[in-house]
Formats: sequence, C-alpha cells, structure tokens
Amino acid sequence: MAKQESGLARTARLLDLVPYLTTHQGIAISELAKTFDATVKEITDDLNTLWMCGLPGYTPLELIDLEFESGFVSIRNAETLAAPRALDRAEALSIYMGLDLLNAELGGSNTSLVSEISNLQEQLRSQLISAPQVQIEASLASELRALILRAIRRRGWLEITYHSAANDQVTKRQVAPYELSQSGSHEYLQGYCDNAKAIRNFRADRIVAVSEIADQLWPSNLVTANDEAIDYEVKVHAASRQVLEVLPQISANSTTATIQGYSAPWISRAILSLAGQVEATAPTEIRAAVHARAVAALENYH
Amino acid sequence: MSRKNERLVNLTIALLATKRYLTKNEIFRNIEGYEGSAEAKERMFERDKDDLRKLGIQIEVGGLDPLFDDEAGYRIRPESYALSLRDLTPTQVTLLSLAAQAWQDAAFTDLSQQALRKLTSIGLDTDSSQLPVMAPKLIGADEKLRSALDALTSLTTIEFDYLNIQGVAQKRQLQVYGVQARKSHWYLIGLDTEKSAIRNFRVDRIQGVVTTVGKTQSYAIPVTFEIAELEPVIETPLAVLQVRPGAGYQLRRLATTIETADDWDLLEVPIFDLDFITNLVLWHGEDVIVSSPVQLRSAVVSALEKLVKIHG
Repeated sequence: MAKQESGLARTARLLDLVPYLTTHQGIAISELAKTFDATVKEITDDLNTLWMCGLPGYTPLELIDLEFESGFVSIRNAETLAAPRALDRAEALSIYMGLDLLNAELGGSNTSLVSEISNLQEQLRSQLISAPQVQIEASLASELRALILRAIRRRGWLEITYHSAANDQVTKRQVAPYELSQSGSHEYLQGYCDNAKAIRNFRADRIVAVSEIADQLWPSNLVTANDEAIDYEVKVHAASRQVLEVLPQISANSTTATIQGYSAPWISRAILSLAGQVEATAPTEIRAAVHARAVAALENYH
Repeated sequence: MSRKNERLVNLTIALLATKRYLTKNEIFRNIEGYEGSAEAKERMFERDKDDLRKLGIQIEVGGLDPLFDDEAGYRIRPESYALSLRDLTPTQVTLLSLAAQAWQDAAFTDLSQQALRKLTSIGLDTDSSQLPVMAPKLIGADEKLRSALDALTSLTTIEFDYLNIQGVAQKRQLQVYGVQARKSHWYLIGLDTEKSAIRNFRVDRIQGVVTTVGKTQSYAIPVTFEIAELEPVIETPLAVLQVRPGAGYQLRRLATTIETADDWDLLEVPIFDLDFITNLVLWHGEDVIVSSPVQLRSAVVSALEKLVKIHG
C-alpha cells in the first residue's frame, strides 16, 4: 500500500487499462486520461507500449490489438488480461471501511441493503490477511443526510432541530442549506439560518432532526456572515492535552494566548470546563462571566 | 523504463496464460525482454518478480519434478489475479462505488480511485434506484491514519509520539489490530508492545508522523480479538447528578435514568472517564450539581474554587 514509485505505478496502469478498455470500447483517449488521472501523452505512451505486448511468440496473432489513431480506443485479442485485477489489501480495507460507514448510516433501516452490505464485507474480508477489526460510526443518519442533500440540490428550506452546546439548548431553526463540509474532525452543515438572519455552521452530529419546509423561497441576496468575532486572552496554567484540544490555538509551550471566538457563552463554558487550567484574562466581561458562573455553581454546594 | 514495463506486462501475460509452471529457462527463451548474460537475466527476473509482488500479484512457485531436475517453475493463477467479487448485482456495484467514494481526503484518493477503476472495469451498470440518497463521507482521515492502515494491511509494527493526558508527547509502539471511527474521531486499537496490553489511541493525538518498525508480517491479529468487547459494558460506576429542568442536554443523552422534578431533575450518568465527566459537569456551570460519588463531587468543587480564585 506504500506509494509506488512511478515505474511500478505505470505498470499497474498498463495492466488496469486492458480490462477497463475491454468494457469501455470506443472510449476517447481524453476521457481515459481523466479516468486514470494521467495526461493524454502518458495514456498514448501506455497504448503504444501495450500494443507491443502479448503472448510469447509476439506475432500479430499473439499481440494485443489496439486501435486509437482516431482518438478513440478499441481493444481486441487481450483476453488474458481482460479480468480486472484483484483489489490489493489496502484497497480492500478502504472499501470495507466505506461499507461499514454505509451500514452505520443506514442504521438498520433498510434490511435488504444491510444484508447486501454484510455479504460484500464478507467477501472482502477473505482478501485481508488476518482480519482487522473495523467499526465506523456515522455522524449523520442516512435519512437526515438524504433530506439535507435533497434540500441543497433543490434549493429548499429545512427545519432542523439542533443542539447548541454553547447555549445548552435544543432549538428548531429554519435553514436554507448550502453545503455539507468538513473541517477538522467534524462535519458541518452550512446554511443561511433565518432565526439568526445570518450564515451559520451546524455540527452534523448535533443535528437531532430534520424536516422539509415546502414552498419557501430561497434567500436571494445572501446576507454576509455577520458573526462578530470576540478576541479574548488567556493565561495558561497547565497545557494539558485537554487544554490543547479544547483551545487548539494554544501551543504546547506558550503561557498566554490571544484567541478569536464567536460566542461569549461558548468561551466562558469552555474556560469553566478546563477546571482552572486556563484563566480568562481579557476582556473583562468574559472574565467576569466565568467568575460569576463559578461562584453560582459553588454556591450550589454550600 | 518503457522496455521494463513492457517486459513486466509480457511476463504477467505469459504466467497467466500458462496452464503449467514455466521454468526460468522457458521464461528467458520465450518472453521478450530478457537479454544479456545468464547472470543479468537472472537478476532481471528476480527484480521483476519482486515488482509484480509489490503490485499485489501472487506468483506461485512449484512444479518441482524429482524425476527430472529440481528447477522451480512459475505461474500466476487467474483466480488469484482477478477481482474475486463475482456475480455482483447493479445495486452491489453501486454500494461498492459509494464505499470507495466515501474517502474524500487527499491521503486516500489514489487508493479509492484505483479501487473504483477496477470496479468500473467489471463493466456492470450501477443501479442506485434501490438506494436512499447517500453520499457518506469518512471524515478527518489523514496521512497518519493512512500510514497506520498501511501498517495494518502489511502487519507491521508502528511507532509514533503520542500526547499523553499531561500534554507531553511520548514514544509508543503499536501492533494495529483494528480501527474505529467514534464520536468524530479516529482510533487505532492494538497491542501496545511496551505495555503488553491492548490500548487505543486517538489518531489526532499523534504528533508528527507514523513510522514503521521492523519487518512486515511481523504479527498476527488474534482471532479472538473483538473491538466490541473493549466497550465498557458492565459495572461502570454511576454519577448521580442534579440537573436543572431544560438544561444539560449532553448529560441527558448519556444518562441511563432520568427522574424529573420541579427544581432539579435527577440523572444517573455512567462514568466512563472521570476527567471527561468532570469537564462536562463544569461546562454546565450552575445548572448541574454532583450528588455522588464523592470523588467526582470534590473534583468539581475544587475546580470551581480554583476558577473563582484565579478569576477573582
């Protein structure tokens, strides 16, 4: 699975071109180049090489017969190599893991598909030496994902039920979704939120429910993101792993940091959760908010 | 380079087409491209065999006939060369393509694209009519995960610097047994060779790169190993928490029981990790009170006292 040096990668491509051409007779060289992520020149060189290959004897009877002068490729006399090559272990594992994700997204909702998937996984498993264990969790159930993708495609509105960790609330919001994207290790739904009258990112794993809203016009003139950034400063008392993960802007050896945040409640909760390993030094409102919440929480115990 | 490629393709074709083992002499005599002295041909052939094996092509050695000489012969079995997924339905082809396309990250595209080309070479139509709209994406997979999966497929021990809970990087060695995507993070599970125990490691806590140690095929995954069995199932201690009605959404999702009341709801939450629960309780500020255990209660109280002190 190590990246092959270019020579071997080319051998692999030569071998894989034959079965692909066999089932895609008449394909344009340019399209072939796109499929194989190569240049037209590289593919033309490949075809010229393959044309010299065949069974021992190497007379026209044994050689692979290729035609491509017209810019469209057809192949004959290549039965020996006509079957697609087996997936190597790495490819088999990557497909196996992808299937595991499909399975997780379906969440048992479609039993016939689930059994097709496990059947395919069983077949792939036999190709992996010493079967590894794989367990993939979905960030979004397939029916929610389906509704979101459909709304993005149709430019429709959704009502999403969303849990905001900063406000510790589950609310319903009307959203015109633009895209599902990923950032760091999370998946986000980006869209225009009618409640906030602004573009918002929603973490996919915090979307609790999704429903479609019929016949509502898509926002025509997009409002620019009007999130106001809040710059805050912290003093680091202990740069533990948790601190570095909650506030990745802090580097391991620094004692102070200036960080850009977007939500005052989120910032003060984050500082609280870090249990005094990090101190909010500015602005005073954030510092005061942390203090006030800690005092109120402590009073619960007296 | 082109001549070598040509020779490798010709060698593959000849070894695939033969019904019996071909001896080296037959190969040198009949397959185009083997030239030079006997030694040069020999070296060429050894390298070619290595190269084909690197491509995942299995060359079978055999045909030793004691009555004649002990010269080995070579062939490639078509059934080991060709894609073994057979009799696929269009729905299955679609599922496999979706699975291949789930890898979006750059570190994996070459791999999934190659797999996808092989699948499309089957020449079967796809049929997505039986499928719900799906475009699953495996998120956050990076070079580090790719290196670990490389090691997993070749059963090679890996080494990396891992950020411990104090935020200090430590060198660890692992024989990877499995991989897990949970709560938006990738985990490697396997044998920590120094500790001689099964451990899991969150991939984003690995600092720098993952390197390999020693030879390939240097361990086997125990057949009895099951990720599911690592999940804490029984006798997890419970925290009893008082939570304001309407607050503590994340705690409620973790809770095993919830008793509602006017002022405070009563939740029982399993403590899989004391630090995690402490931080989660603190996140909710004055909306949560820890009733028990004492350990958690005093951890929260002393954290709050420290917070008050440093922000006062």
